[in-house]
Amino acid sequence: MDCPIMRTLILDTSGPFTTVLVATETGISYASILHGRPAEHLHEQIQTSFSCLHIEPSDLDRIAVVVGPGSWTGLNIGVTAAKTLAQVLKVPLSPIHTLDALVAGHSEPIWALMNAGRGQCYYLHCTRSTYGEKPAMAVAPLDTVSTQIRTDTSAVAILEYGNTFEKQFCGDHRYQSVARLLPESLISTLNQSPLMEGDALKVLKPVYLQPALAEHHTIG
Amino acid sequence: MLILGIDTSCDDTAAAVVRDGHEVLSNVIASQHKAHDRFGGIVPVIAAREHTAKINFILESALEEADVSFADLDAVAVSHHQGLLLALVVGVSAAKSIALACNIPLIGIHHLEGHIYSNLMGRSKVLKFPFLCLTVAGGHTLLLKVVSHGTYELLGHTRDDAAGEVFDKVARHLGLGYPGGAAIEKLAEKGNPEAYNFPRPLINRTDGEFSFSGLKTAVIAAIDRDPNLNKADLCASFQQAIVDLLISKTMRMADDHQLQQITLAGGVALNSPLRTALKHAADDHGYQIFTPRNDLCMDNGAMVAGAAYFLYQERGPDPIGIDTRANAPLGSMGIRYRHDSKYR
Ligand SMILES: Nc1ncnc2c1ncn2[C@@H]1O[C@H](COP(=O)(O)OP(=O)(O)OP(=O)(O)O)[C@@H](O)[C@H]1O
Ligand SMILES: [Mg+2]
Repeated sequence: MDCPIMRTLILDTSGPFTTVLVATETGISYASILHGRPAEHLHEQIQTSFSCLHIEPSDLDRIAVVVGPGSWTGLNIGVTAAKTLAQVLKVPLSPIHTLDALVAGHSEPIWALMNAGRGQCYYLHCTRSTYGEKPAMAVAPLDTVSTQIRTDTSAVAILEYGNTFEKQFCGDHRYQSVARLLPESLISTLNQSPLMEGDALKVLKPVYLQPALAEHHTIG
Repeated sequence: MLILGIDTSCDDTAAAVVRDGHEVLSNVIASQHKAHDRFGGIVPVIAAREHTAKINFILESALEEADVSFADLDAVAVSHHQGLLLALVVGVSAAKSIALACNIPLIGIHHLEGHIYSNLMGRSKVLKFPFLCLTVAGGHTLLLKVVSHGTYELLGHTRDDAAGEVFDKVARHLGLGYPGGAAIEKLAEKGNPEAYNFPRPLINRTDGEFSFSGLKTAVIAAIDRDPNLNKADLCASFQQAIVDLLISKTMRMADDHQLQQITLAGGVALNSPLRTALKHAADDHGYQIFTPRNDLCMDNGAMVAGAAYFLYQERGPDPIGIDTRANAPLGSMGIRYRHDSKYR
């Protein structure tokens, strides 16, 4: 490639782990994954990434951040950190959706789920026909979704971000609980992610877990 | 020294640019009270959501109004202690990003220190240590001896509600808007302060302790009792009781500790009957009164930048990993004081 490398700082504070990555087109150049407390860790991790790579903040070409769904406070911290870095450095910001990262790298029919509280769940249903385009995340009662999943014999995996549905899918070998989004998955969602700048960047809001408080539409 | 000050400790998203601790170049505040209105109080998760949605616009406005850019800043200051934890973390995250991206010092400020220092802004030549500070806000009522930069002694605090909180609760009970203190002050203008004889708890005790919950209960009972209530009279009498309580304790502590300069801080410091009464009392004793500029009384970013200017010279910068705490002791002596239950 003859264009200069595009260096992206990627932040994920959506779950119990705080992940900071620096990546270029050629791959991951830095990864730091710490458990808990993004309020204190996140910026320390970012600072460490700069010093390890001997780069300045101004060497970044893009910021990417997991916008949720996920931990309320984690997302507020991560999204605010990312928006502010992008605002000061005048670089574009790419939002990453949790369930998009969860299904990244899969090419077979699967379900990706997340607890939305009060008996609701967020889900992404990837079928053979949806690969290549992006299926939209939706929210529906867990009972409705799990009935649909149990009868869906074409799906090969049920991935939950978190581990609250173990009972629901007890005995279903397809069920897997995922504790954190993997660096490779985060990076592979970047191609599909828009580049936000100016006011569009500033209005970016996390996708909160509690649909009611987050003012989402409820479907199903 | 050009400092950007940020405060997201409660329900206002605030940012300001201040030069050398004195010159307020901008002071932008986005109030969220409409988002909380239908819940009858401040909901921490909603405060956090609103801060996250607005903070970057507020930062931009603060810089634009001051006619500076991020690159012009010498430091960024933020309230990281005292307030709603979920709300504080948003301002702190933004401040840390600015410190990192601009490679400038980060200065963490205790929210109450911001209120206290609003008195020193533009006044550091006339206001000398030690002085007395009556901090009366939505979540706190404290009497402090300000010994030197960053060092305070607690002379008294409320045992239960904060004065501002009581103003807000009574106002809500009367169906008045926010801020409750301002609405009550306005109604009280046409009322008789002697129409009701409300209790003044602990007024005869010789220490600096306050208590407002008995007064609050009595006022709310009076409202509930009388369907043909004269709201103006009730507000005037209630406000008078608060003023009497605040003034008597303040003057007593000024006498006991021989503090001849008295300052007021926090949202309730906007109350003009309080200012007038304090002025009269101080004149009688030969004391001097200082009140912050009106735009520095309620939560704002300028007071944070102001406090940071003075405290940075004493303490230097903070590490990028500074903590965020809902309840934190105040000052170099780590004094502990009572705060409102909303700060869990
Ligand atoms: N004119 C006024 N008279 C009396 N009280 C007032 C007036 N204007 C505002 N207030 C009160 O000031 C308070 C808000 O002040 P401020 O923003 O400093 O408090 P806070 O930040 O919510 O609490 P704290 O600083 O204690 O954590 C409210 O309780 C409000 O009723
Ligand atoms: Mg305040």
